[in-house]
Amino acid sequence: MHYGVVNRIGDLGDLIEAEITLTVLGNGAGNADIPFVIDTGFTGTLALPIHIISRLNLPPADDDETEVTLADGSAEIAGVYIARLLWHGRPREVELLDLGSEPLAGMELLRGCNISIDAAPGGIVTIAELPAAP
Amino acid sequence: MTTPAKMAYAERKQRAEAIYNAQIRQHIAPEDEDKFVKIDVLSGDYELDENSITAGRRLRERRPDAVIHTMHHHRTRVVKIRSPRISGRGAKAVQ
Repeated sequence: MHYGVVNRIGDLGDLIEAEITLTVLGNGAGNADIPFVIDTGFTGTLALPIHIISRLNLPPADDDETEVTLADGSAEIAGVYIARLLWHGRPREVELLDLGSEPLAGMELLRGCNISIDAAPGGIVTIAELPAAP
Repeated sequence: MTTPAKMAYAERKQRAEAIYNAQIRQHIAPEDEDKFVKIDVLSGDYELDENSITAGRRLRERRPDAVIHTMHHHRTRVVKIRSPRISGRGAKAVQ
């Protein structure tokens, strides 16, 4: 089970976002606890700004670029890197995108899980593994 | 170990789609349609796996110099980001 929190976005009035902090295992560069905003409109696993990818010394994937469709329908190219993180107590290897200016967690990360959000400031976010398919 | 050649994304994609349509598509069994297809656009060699990273590693082991592109039977693009949080900052325009 992972727990997160619903935060009020400080300087933008009464707006809220759901956040989960994940431990990303650095590639010989130490680990980092990184808060990710949960974004169910993002079909990938994780997106990180390049300066965090560089700090963790994450290696590029075997095919190091991919095409993504952005919110306005335009297509762009993003770098693809490989990261290991702790997921439900176990190491998990994922592909993440060099994109944007804040860490995002998408639906591929959440695949196979139940997610619950108490959508009010200070609300609890829980992410539990679904029972394995028969 | 040699460093794999660098190829512009647009050329890599074009080559991969041509190889996929001419040589690979007809060999994808129905039970494999949800798997990622990693194609070496230099040799035409490819690997299939539900795990994108695993497929890429297997192909790289066999083809150390591969220029790899990822395709998927059901998806024209691997990732969609509908969130207006990301509006192109940090990304390059597709040529």
